Amino acid sequence: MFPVFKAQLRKDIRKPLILILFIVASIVATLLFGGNTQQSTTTVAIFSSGPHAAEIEMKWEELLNNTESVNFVRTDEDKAREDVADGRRDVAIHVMENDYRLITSSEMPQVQLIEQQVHEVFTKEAQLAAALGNEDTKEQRDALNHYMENPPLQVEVQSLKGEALPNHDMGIQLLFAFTLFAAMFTIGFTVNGITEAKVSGVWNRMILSSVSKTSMYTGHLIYSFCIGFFQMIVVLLIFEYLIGYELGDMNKILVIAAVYTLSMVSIAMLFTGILRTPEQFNMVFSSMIPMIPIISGVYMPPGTISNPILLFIADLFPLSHGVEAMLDVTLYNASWNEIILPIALMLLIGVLAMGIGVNMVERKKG
Amino acid sequence: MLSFLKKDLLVFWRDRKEVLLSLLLPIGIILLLNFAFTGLFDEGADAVNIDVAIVQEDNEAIGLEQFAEKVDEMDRSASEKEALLMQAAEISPNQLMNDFLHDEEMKAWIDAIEMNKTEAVELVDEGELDAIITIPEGFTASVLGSIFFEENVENPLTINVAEESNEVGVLQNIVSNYMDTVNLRFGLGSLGATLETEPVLPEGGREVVEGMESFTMAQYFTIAMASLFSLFTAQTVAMKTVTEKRERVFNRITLTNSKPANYLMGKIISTFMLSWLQLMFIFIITQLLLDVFPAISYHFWIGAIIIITALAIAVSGLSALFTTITLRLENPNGANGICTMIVLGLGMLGGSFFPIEAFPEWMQKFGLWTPNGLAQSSFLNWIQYGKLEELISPMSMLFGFFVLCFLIGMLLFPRRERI
Repeated sequence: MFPVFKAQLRKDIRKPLILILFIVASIVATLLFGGNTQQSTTTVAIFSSGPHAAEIEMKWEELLNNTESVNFVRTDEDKAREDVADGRRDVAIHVMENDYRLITSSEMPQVQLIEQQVHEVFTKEAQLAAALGNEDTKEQRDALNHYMENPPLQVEVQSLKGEALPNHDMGIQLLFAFTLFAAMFTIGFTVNGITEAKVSGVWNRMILSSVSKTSMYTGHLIYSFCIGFFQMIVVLLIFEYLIGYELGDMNKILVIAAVYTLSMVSIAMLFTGILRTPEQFNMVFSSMIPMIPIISGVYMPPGTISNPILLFIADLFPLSHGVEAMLDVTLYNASWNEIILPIALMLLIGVLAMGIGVNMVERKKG
Repeated sequence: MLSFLKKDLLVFWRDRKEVLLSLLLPIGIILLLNFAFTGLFDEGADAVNIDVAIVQEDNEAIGLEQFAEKVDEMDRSASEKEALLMQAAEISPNQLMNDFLHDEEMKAWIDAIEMNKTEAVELVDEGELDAIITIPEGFTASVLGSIFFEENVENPLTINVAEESNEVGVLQNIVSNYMDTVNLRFGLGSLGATLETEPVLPEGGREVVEGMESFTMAQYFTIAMASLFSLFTAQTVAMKTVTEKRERVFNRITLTNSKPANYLMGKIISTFMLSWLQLMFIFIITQLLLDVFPAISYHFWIGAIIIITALAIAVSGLSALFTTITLRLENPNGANGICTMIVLGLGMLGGSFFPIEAFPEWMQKFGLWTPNGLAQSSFLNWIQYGKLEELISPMSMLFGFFVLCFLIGMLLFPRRERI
C-alpha cells in the first residue's frame, strides 16, 4: 500500500504544476466571483421627455437613489434607448411626472427586481402626493421620514429559537462552492491514476508482484484522498487566516471537508469503473463535473431550486451536502448533531459509489 | 491533410458512445434546467407558495383595556377620551394583520393556518411549513401606544423561520410592504394630513422597443449550455491527442515528414464538424421538445446557422491550441487540467454558468471577448432584433479568436527534434 502511495506522491512532487494551478484557481475564482457579488451595483439609466424633462429627471433621480444596490443615472434619451437596443444595458427607465415605463426586452430576474424597486418608490410618492397635495414641503417630508423610522407596525425576522437570524452570506456560500468544486477536479485527476496505471501496464506488473490488489486500490485511493484534502485545507486556511473570512469552527469544517473528500473519491472511482481509458475519463469527468454545482444550486441563493426531481439529483452528489453542512457551521454555528445528517449522507454516497465503482473496474476485461 | 481529417473522423466514429454523450448530455442538462426554472422566473405566481402558521398570542380585549387605562390617566376631557377609544377600536391592529393575512388575494402566495406555537415550531422544524408569523402578546397595546402616544414599539410582529431562503425573503417583503403602506397612512395622519383623494397609482409597465422580441430564461439556458458544451468539444478532441501520443501514433506521423499545419488542420476541421453538428443538434432538438424559440421563422435560422458556424470555427481554433498544449506537456493530466481550467474560465466569464450581469463591469467586458460570451450576446441580439449587419462584428471577432488560437498553436507546436 505505501509503496503505491509513495509512487504517486513522487510523480506529483516532481511535477507539482497542476496541483498548484488548481489551488490558485480555486482561490482566484472565489475572490473574483465570491467577493464581488455583494458590493456590485447595477447602473440603470433614467430619462424623461417633454419640456420639464430635466426637472422630472432630477426629482426621480434623487428619490430612486435612496435605495441601495441599484444606481440610477440620468442619461440622454437617445443614448439610453440605444444602449438597451444594442444590448449594452438590460433596462432603462422612462420617468414621467407620476409614472414610469421600463424599456427592456429581457425577462431575466434582475430586471424584475429593478421593476419592483422602482414601483415601490413611485407608489410611495403617489400616496404622498395624494395626501399632502401641493403642500409637499421638505419639512413635512422630513417629519414623515422621521415617523417612518419608528412606525407603529414593525416586523422582525427571527430563527425558531427566537434569536436574530444571521444573514445568508452568498460570498461564503460561493467560497465553499468553489473550494469543493475545485477539489472535485483534483480528486478526479488523481483517481484517474488507476486507469493510467492500467493502460501503461504498470498495473499488470504490480499484480505480478506480491502486492495485494486491496493494497493497490487503497494506496491509490488514500493518495487521492490526501491530495484532495490537502488542497481543501490549504484553500480554507488561506481564506480563514490570510484573507480574513470568518469560517467558524474550523474543526467541524475540516471534518466535513474530509468526509466530502472521501465521498468524492468514491464518485471518481465510479467514473473510473464506467470509463475505460484515462482519456475517456478526462473527457467525461471534465464535462460532467461542472454541471453538478449548477444542478445542486450552489451558485444560487438557497431555495432558488425547489423542483423535487432536481433536488433529488442534487442529493445524489456530495457537493450539495458538503456546502450545506459547511454553511450551517459557518452561518448558524451548528452543533455536531445538526451536521450529522449531511455527513451521514455523504458517507452513504461514498460507500455506494465505491462499492459499485470497484466492482465495475474489476469486471471489465483488459 | 485529407488523410489526417479522415483519421480524426474515424477516431470519432470508433468512439460513437462518447460522441453520443457529448450530444445528449447538454440536451439533458437544458431540459433539466428548464424544467427546474421555468416555474420560477416565467410565471412566478405558481411557483411561490409559502405555507405559514399564524400564532395568536395577543388578546385584543386586554390590549384595548390597557390602552383605555392609559387614556384614562391623561389629562383630557371625557368626550376627547371617548373619541380616542373609538378611534383605537376602529384601527384594531390585530384585526388589521389578520385581515391582511387571510386576504383573498394573498391566497395566491400564502397559505396561512392558525395553530399554537409548539405545534408550529415542530412543523417548521420538519420542513412542513416555511415560517411562523407570531402576533405577540401585547401587540395591540404596543401598536396603539405607538400611534397615539408615540411610544417605542416593544412587541413587534415576528416571523420565525428555520433559515433564510427565497420564500422567507418573499414573505418578509410582502409583510413589510403592507406595513409600510399602513404606516405611511398613520404617519400622514400624525402630520394632520389625510388620504382624502385616492392616490393616482403609477401604472408602470414596459415599453417594448420596436422590432424587439423578448428574451426568455429558456433561451438563455439553451444558448449558454450549447456554447459551453461546444467548448468541451474542443477539449474532447485534444484529449484524443493524448491517446495518439501514448500509442506513438504522433511519433510515427512526425517520421512521415508531414507538416504540423496539416496535422493541426485535420484536428481543426474535424472539431469544426463535430461542434457544428453538436450545436445544430442541440438547437433543433430543444426547439422541437421545448419550443424554446416560439414563432420562429426561416429568417431566424439563417442568423442562428451563421452564429453556430462562427462559434464552431472559434471552437476548432481552441482545439488547435489545446492539441498543442497536450503535445507539449508530458503529463496528460496536467494538459487536461489546464484545458479544463481554460474552458471553465471562459465559461464563467462568458456567463455560461450564471448570468454575468451581477458582476463588475470590467468582468462583463472581458466576458464579451470569450467565444461563448460572444456567441451568447450575438444570439441575444439576433433574437431581439434580427439585424444581419449587427452580426458582422461579433462574427469577425469569433474568427479572430480562431486565427489567434491557430497561430499560438502553430507557434508552440513541438519541433521535430524535441519529440
